[in-house]
Parts: sequence; structure tokens; C-alpha cells
Amino acid sequence: MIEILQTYGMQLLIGGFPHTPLGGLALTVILAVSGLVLAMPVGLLMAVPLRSRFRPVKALAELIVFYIRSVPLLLHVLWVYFLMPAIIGVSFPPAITMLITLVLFNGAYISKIVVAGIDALPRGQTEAALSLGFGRVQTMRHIILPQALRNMLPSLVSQLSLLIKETALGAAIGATEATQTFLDLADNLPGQAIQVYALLALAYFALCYPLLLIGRRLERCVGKAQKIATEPAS
Amino acid sequence: MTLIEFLSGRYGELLLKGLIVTLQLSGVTLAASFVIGVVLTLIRLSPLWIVQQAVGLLVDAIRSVPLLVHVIFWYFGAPELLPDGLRMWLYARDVNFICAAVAISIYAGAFISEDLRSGLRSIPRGQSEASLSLGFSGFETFRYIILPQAFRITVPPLLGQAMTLTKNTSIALMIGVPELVYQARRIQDITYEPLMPYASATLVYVVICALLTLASRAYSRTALSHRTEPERTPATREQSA
Repeated sequence: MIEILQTYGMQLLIGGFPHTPLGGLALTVILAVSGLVLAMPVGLLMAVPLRSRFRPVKALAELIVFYIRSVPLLLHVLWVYFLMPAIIGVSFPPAITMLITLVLFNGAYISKIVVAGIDALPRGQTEAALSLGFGRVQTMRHIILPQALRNMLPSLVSQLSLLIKETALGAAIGATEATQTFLDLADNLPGQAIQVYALLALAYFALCYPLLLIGRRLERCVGKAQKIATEPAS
Repeated sequence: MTLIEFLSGRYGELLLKGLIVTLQLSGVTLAASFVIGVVLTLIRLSPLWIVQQAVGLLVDAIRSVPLLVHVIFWYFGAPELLPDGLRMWLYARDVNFICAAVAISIYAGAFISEDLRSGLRSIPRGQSEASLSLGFSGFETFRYIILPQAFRITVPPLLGQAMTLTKNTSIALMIGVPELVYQARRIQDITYEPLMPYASATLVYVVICALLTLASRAYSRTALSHRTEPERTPATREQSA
């Protein structure tokens, strides 16, 4: 295993870069992080109609989110990969296709996290802000969202580790992220394939396990903070 | 060509075959992953600290690696490690299906054990203390007092896992299991037309998930609403992807 790392470590890390577009684990991390960063505004935007008091708007938003969540990510990837070019006439490289899919897919999940985060806040917060003369938007922007975002932090961290795992599906459309890169290497080293797979699993473990631990710790912190905040002052 | 025409032809037949494989794979892995989840949870209840930690780490490790990598490992890697006789036996069967089922079961089992554990933890200590002081033994307390309550709380997250698992079986297409998305892709390769096959496959998943969502809601309404205590649903675990 050490030998494989010594010989092919760089290739696994960044793919064929600079001769080919960036690949390997670097592409996985970039896809996951940029996916999360871009999915955040999408999720926030989708949360607006989800909390709308106008029923048809809410129902439509719920329907879209339900659709996105009930179809396998792999199928979404294939939709974007094969149908985007047919619909808008432009075809993207696999990595961009993957990014678009991840942003839309995770946007739907994050919108649910956002709604849950907002709904978890006591109504008194909104009422107090409104009676202090804040407008609806101001209340949301200065009072509710900052608190809700803090409560959402643990979920967002686990969402990042989910994104890292989801990028693996890029292999289905030939995006040269980590899984694809390791698979190619395993093809070239027939006798040592199993070691390459073990390395691949280890790489994902090294990326995701710390996030899992951080998420857990944050969950405890946020839980404690919330308990203190909601306990009646005596 | 309308969707109806498309589905009534031979492509509809292919998709139906795919759906059957998807349902088979989902059914087998759902049962197996539940067993794995229960076993892992029971081991984690062990009083030995080291055992708890080891199983906890194993569960976290399984959850940290993408399902696709599990599938690849069990299909391309694991058979190499088997003794010859067993390997021959495996290759004489539907090796793709078996390997995919093993991988998905282990992956989903890890998530299910987390759900079960948080279900167990959501039962207040007073319950077991009361039952012990009423003269139930430790095992009886677990079997008759804790487990029934924990199970009731865990059903909605488990239905959620069933939904995720059904969607996750689509990853088996990467090792050539002829499930629904695999067939859709194959039809696309024949007709050079992606819309109809993918739309049909998508529709099927939406229907499956709608049914499971309705079941979960109905369950929460009937089984969980009679509780006199305030609702204590466990913290939702992140969805497996």
C-alpha cells in the first residue's frame, strides 16, 4: 500500500493535473465544498416559498422538494448529464454537470434544514422583533436567520460529509474525481486492485470521519446553548 | 410517442424487469440491513467500554465511505479474498446481485443501528428504573418496557431509511445489476432518446417514495399521537446517500 502511495500518490491526489483538468481527491473536495457553498443560497431561496402563507406557492415548493428528494441522486445525475444539453443546447464537462446536480439536490435538502431551523426558534423571537418595530424582512435578516443558522450548523457539517460521499457518483458519468481516479489506477494494477480499493475507502474515511466528529460535537454545543437560551430566567 | 405508448411496447417490459430487480434488491437488503442494524445495536449495548467504542467506530467508518465504494469493494475486491470453492460457488450464482446486496445491506445496517440507538436513548431513564423497582429483571425490562417504546419511536426513521435504501439500490447499476435505472440507461443506448426511459424510472421512484411517506405519516398519526407524554422523537440522523 505504501508503495502504491509513493508511486501514484500525486496522481490520486490531483489526477493528471496539469496535463488534464484537475482530478482525484482534490476534485472531490472542491466539488463538495463548492457544492455546499452554492447549495446554501439555493436552500435559503427555496425555504422562502416553503414557509409561504400562500397555500398554492407552499404546495408547489413542497412538491418540488419532494420530487428532488424522492429520486435517486444517480438518476438526477443522468438527467442533468443527458437532458441538459438537449434542453439548453450546451453540454458541460462531467465535473460541472456533477456540481450542478449536487447544488440542486443539496439545495432541496438544505431548504428543509433551514425551515426546521427557523421553526425551531420560539415564536416570541419574531413577536418581540415585530413589536420592536422591525419589518418582516429585517426580523428575518437580523433576528431569526442568525439564530437559525447557528442551530443549523451541525446539520450543515453533516451535509458536507454527505456531499463528499455523493461526489463519488461522478464516476457514473466519467468525472475524474477520487473514485474514478482510484478505479482507473486499480485497472492499471490488476494484482493490487484490492489495496487500491482499501486506499480509496481510507481516503473517504479520512475526509468524512473528522466531519462526523465535528458535527457531533457541534450538536452537543448547540443543544446546550439552546437549553440555556430557552430556560426561564429565575 | 406518448409515455403510455412507450411503456406498452417492449421497452415497458424491460423497465418492468428492472423494477422487479429493484424491488427484489430493496426487499432483500431491507431485511438484511435491519438484522445487521439490530445486531450492531445489541453489541453496542454491551457494558464493556472497549466493545462499545469499537462497534461505534466501525459504524462510523461504514457511514464515512460512499456506498459506491462499498459496492465496488464487495464486487471487485472481496471475491478475490474468498477461498476458491466459495468463489466458484459465488460466480456460479448472480454475483453482481449478491455483491450489491451485501454492500447495500452493510451500509444501510450502519445507518439503521444509529437510528435504533437514538430510539433507545430517547427512552427516559425513569422507565427502566421504575421497571427494575417493580421487580422486572434487566432482560425483562429491556424486552417488555424499553424495546416496545423504542421501536415505536424508531418506525418513522426506519421508513425513511427504507426510502433511502430503495433509492440507493440504483447504485448497483455501476456493477451491472439490471435494476430500474440500468434498464432506463440501456433503453437510452438503444433508442438514443433519454427522455422517456428516464421519465418512467423517475416516476416509479416518486410513486414508491410517496407511498412510503404516506405510510410514515399515517403511522405517526395513529401510533405516536396517543402518547400522553410530550413527543420525543429522536434527533434525525443524516440521510444516507
